[in-house]
Amino acid sequence: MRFLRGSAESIRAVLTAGSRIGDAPSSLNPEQLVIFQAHTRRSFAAVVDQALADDADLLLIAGGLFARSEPGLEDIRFASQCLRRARDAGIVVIALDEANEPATDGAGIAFLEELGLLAAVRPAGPMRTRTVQIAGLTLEIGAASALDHVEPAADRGLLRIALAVDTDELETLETAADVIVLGNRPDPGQRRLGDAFLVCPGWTAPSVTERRAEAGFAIIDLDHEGVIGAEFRELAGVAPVVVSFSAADLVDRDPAAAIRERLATLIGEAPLVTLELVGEFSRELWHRCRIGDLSRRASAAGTLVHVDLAQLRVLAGPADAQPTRSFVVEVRRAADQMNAAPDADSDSETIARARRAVVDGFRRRAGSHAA
Amino acid sequence: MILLERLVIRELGALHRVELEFQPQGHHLITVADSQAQVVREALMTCLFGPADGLRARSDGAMVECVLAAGGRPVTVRRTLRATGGDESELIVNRGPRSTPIRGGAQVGAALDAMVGLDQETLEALVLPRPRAELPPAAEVRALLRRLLGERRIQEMEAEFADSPAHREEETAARARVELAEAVMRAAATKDEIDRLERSLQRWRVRQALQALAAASERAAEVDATERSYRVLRGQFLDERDRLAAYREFAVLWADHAHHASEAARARERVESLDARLGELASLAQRARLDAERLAALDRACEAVATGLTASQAADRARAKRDQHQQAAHEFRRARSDLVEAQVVQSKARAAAERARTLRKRAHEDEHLPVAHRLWGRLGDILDAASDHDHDEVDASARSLETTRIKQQLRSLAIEAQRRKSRLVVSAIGVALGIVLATIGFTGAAPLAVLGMATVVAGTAAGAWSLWSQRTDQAREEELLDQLAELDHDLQTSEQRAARLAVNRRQQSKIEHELERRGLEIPATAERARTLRDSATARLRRLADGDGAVSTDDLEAECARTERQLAHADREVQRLQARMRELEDSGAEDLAAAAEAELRNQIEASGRAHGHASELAGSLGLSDDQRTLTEARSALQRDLNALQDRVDRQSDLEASHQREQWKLHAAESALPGIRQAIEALVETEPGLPRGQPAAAAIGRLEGLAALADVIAAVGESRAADQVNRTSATARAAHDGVARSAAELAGAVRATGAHVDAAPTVSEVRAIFPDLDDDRLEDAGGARRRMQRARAERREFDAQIRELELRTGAVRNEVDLEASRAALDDIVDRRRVRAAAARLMGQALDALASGVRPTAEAALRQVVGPITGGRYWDVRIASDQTVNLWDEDGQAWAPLRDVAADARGRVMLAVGIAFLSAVRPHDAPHAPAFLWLDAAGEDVDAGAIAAVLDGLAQADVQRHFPQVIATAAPGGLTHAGFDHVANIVEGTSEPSPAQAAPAHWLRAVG
Repeated sequence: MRFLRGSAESIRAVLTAGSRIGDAPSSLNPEQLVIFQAHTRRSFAAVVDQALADDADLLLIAGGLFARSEPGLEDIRFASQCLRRARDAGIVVIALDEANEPATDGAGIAFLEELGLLAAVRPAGPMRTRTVQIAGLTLEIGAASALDHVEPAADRGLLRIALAVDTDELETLETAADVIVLGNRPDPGQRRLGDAFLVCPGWTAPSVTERRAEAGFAIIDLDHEGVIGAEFRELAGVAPVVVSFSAADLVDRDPAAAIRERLATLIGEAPLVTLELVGEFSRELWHRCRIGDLSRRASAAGTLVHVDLAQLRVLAGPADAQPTRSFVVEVRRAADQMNAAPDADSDSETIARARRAVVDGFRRRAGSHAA
Repeated sequence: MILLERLVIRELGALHRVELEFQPQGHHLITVADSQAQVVREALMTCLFGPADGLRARSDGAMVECVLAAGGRPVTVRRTLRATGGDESELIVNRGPRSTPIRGGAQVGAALDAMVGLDQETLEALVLPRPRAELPPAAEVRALLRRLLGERRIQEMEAEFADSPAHREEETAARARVELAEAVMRAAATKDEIDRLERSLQRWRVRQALQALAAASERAAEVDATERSYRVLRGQFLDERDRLAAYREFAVLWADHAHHASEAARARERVESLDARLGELASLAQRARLDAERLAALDRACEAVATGLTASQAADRARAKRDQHQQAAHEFRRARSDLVEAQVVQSKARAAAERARTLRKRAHEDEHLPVAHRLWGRLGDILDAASDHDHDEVDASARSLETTRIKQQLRSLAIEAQRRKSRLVVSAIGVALGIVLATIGFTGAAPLAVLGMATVVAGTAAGAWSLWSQRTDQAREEELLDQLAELDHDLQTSEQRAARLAVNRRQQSKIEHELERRGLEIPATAERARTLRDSATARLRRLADGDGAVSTDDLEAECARTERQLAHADREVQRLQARMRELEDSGAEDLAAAAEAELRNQIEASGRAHGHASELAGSLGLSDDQRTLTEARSALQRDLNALQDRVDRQSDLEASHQREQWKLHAAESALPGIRQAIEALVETEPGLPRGQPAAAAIGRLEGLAALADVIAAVGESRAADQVNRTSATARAAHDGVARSAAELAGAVRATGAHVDAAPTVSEVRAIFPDLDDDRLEDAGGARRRMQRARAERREFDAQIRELELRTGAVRNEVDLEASRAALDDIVDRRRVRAAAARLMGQALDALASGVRPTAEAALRQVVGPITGGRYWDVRIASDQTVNLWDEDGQAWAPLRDVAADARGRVMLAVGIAFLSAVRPHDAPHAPAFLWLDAAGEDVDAGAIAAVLDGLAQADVQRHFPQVIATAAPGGLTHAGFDHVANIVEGTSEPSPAQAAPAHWLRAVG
């Protein structure tokens, strides 16, 4: 299949991955899911808008367009509307169809291809590569598995672009491909890899927990020599706003009101907010935070609040979980307790000898059993 | 730490050929039919612990192999199973070139036990999380902890620190030696005490015997004087009692006389009264007869009134029944009109439901259109290929026949060529022979020349024909060989198509399964598939171009609503039809007419009875109302009953009259005899009065005489008793004197002195002149002390003998100080052991009790995400039950009261959190993988997906870097997993890398 257009000397390609239209994380309730999915769609639409604004010639979707192998009708309808705008503007769209089993999966991209909105390349089966001509430049675009052992292109007018989803594939591509687009990581980047130019466009979709990556996409300019320019474009407002509280911030006041007050300017404005609670909270203080109520109010206002409890420790009582759970440590704790309240049969010397006997016996037998 | 690296299964259960690879980290999904998921899990257990019950090898050579990373070392375990049972086992620990296989079931089991250290039950408990509404009981937690730490190791340590019989025996022996030394010392001190007490008691007994002898002599003299004075007093009392007996008899006779006189007067009065009452009863009997006749007339009048009332009540009942039947007839008419209306509503509801079903079906198809579009397209291609193959099969048989025919022709040509070669040889020989004959003919025999020439010509002609036909056959043969090659090429092409067809058939099966699962049409022909696909394309294009679609949920709700309306209309029609049948069966209108006739009859009967009652009441001078008649009858009945009672008592009065007359006669005849006896008594006792005393004086005289007699009798009796008693006392006093003398003699002899059998006081004082100097204040206490000392002495002796036997030592040889030092050393060691055992127990207790708060903390991190933000805190109570904090109700909600969907997720999370919390850091063989089986009855796929999603944000994930889930195809979305393997019809398929692995998506939420 060939696409012919123009005769300019360089072309501009927009690279995107991880759009995950229709993603439905189980941790979100139905109200939050509506907000999240709408935001995901807006992110992909923003990429298309940028491609149109930048007068791009090529849109490469390097995996992860849909979150599910069987996207819903609404997701397909949305994607088709976005891609129709791109097609009508003359942008060539190539997408990696990463379906595991072509016979039963991958319905979404196949149908978009059926509508003539994009051309798909697949890791296996027919249509593993596509050749397009844009502005006199011939591009052979294919799944990494289709290009991993081909000879380097002799024709200087031919550029090979490999769409990879696994870091293990890179080694065999560095001599065969001119450009490698790796779409499996959320963080963007670019570097030379042997004779090839490796671009990680990052992920387009928002992430409520991933802090390292900025949501966005990449733009590269190509000519007969290869890549002449590359740029990462961040999608403004896609990443969540992080708000952090410690127990000291909340203990002397109504914690729920304090959190609401702090988030007041964000709720309804920012689509995603990560509420981070840090340190040791009493159970009573934790309950007074009324996280469920806050989350519901935010959802009603159109903001998804993700609660990050990774650094929170709730003190539930005297039997709180000890951070270290080890037999040897518990033996030492028990010896300390016995020393604190010695009886007629156990003085400190006796307890110390007993502790040594237990710990030495435990370690000695661990060694002998392993041997 | 134990991780899975690889699992290979061959011909086991329903599985043919399965090869699964596991990465050290990540979520793995194995899609497998529900019936085979258990086989995969059991295969792993079979590999580690030997063949499971019920798991059968399909054939000899069935095999399971797994590669574990145990403590960082790869360990390969392989078991070859026989269909008839039994297995051959092999274990290889990968140590590079030095790897040496271990063979044999027992050896492999022992090696695995040493490396893995867990039995099958424990491993299953640690890697197969069970949904839980509560944590296991403390005993079960403690047992699991022990197995995690190494049951054998813990048992060995407990045995080391336990108070063993040998330890106890050693300490007992040391303690016995100390006791023996102490007992010997105490026995000597006790003997000295016994001697001293014995001497004091002997002198005290002599002094006591002396005092007793003096006291006994004085007492004997006093008793003799007392006996004499009591004998005189008894004689005086006997004389006084004889005189008092005459006074008492006199008083009794005068009292008897007064009684009989009084009885005669009372009997006379009663006889006169009874005569008057018997005369009055004769007139009352006549009056009772007249009242009885009037009562019979009143009874008849009351009966007539009652008959009238009964008829009136029957008329009321008949009226009510008539009204009821008329109401039923009215209802029957109304039900008929309701039924017509309900049937109209039913037909409208049926039409609405049919339309809603159609819309729902269309929406359902729309929902699956993207998938259906792809499936129908692919199925069309497959069916086309299958059709081509059918043509191939037809062509193949024709080709086969053609090949056979060509080969036969080739064989015929070969035979013909052979024959031709023979003919050429014969022709050549003929030509040669002809030439020879012609030469001979030309040289000498002319006739032979003709023959020779003819032979040459014939041979040449035959040879030429053979050569010509040979060239023709060679051309034919080349043509046939070309045809044969073409047929071979067609055959190979057909075989390649057949191989592709096998792949297509498997895909066709999967596609048909998918279509069936989604409720979509399964086309039978390629044309139908293409038609469906084109239709789907058009509909999809229309939907994709459209502005919106009707929500399937709305259509489902609308369909459900119309179905409910239809069901309601059906029920209403059925109800009305049943009501109609019931009313028709009851015949309400006929029954209403019958009830009307009955009403008239009862009204007439009531009128007749009322007229008869009025006639009877008039004859008695009373009104005809029932109350008046009833009251008059009751009053007359009461009067008649009273009269009859009085008449009936006449016979009793006559009997009383006879009895009173007899009593009068008896009293009057007893009085003369009593007067004669009084006169005789006065003659014998001059002190008695001569005339009849007053009645009061008689009573007083009799009482005083009786009292004086009693007093005299008591005095006489007591005097006799005192005489007897003082006589016995005197004898006892004299015996006491003799006994005291004998005791004194015994006490003196007990001290060792010699004395007579009855020594005197002065004699004894002479023997013990200092007797009063040695005074013993508490002899009883001294005796008790001495008894105790003797008992102690006996106990010490017994104890010493027993301790000598137990220790093997002789009492004179034991050293108290040395024995105590040896015992202290043994006790010290025992205390260290006891403290160590306590430390172990407390450490295990602390680990076990820490499971609950640790699991609680782990659950707190995931409960919000997995319940969609409904609950944010968890509490595991002391009875191990799980409660969730209900923020709206500000109260703890038991897990069993939580909505089913959230409950299933939380229960699975509780199971996983428990497995995470129960693992101590120093557990050497803790498995670091989880196996979640969505095919099981306990866990559903939705809960697995949600919990895995939630766990990604929790610390629990650190403990289980490797998660393996099995689910039926379509049960879990692939997007939730890093690695996916498919098992189709018992065979694993090569799985391409996940293009969008789970950690992409987990990073989102």
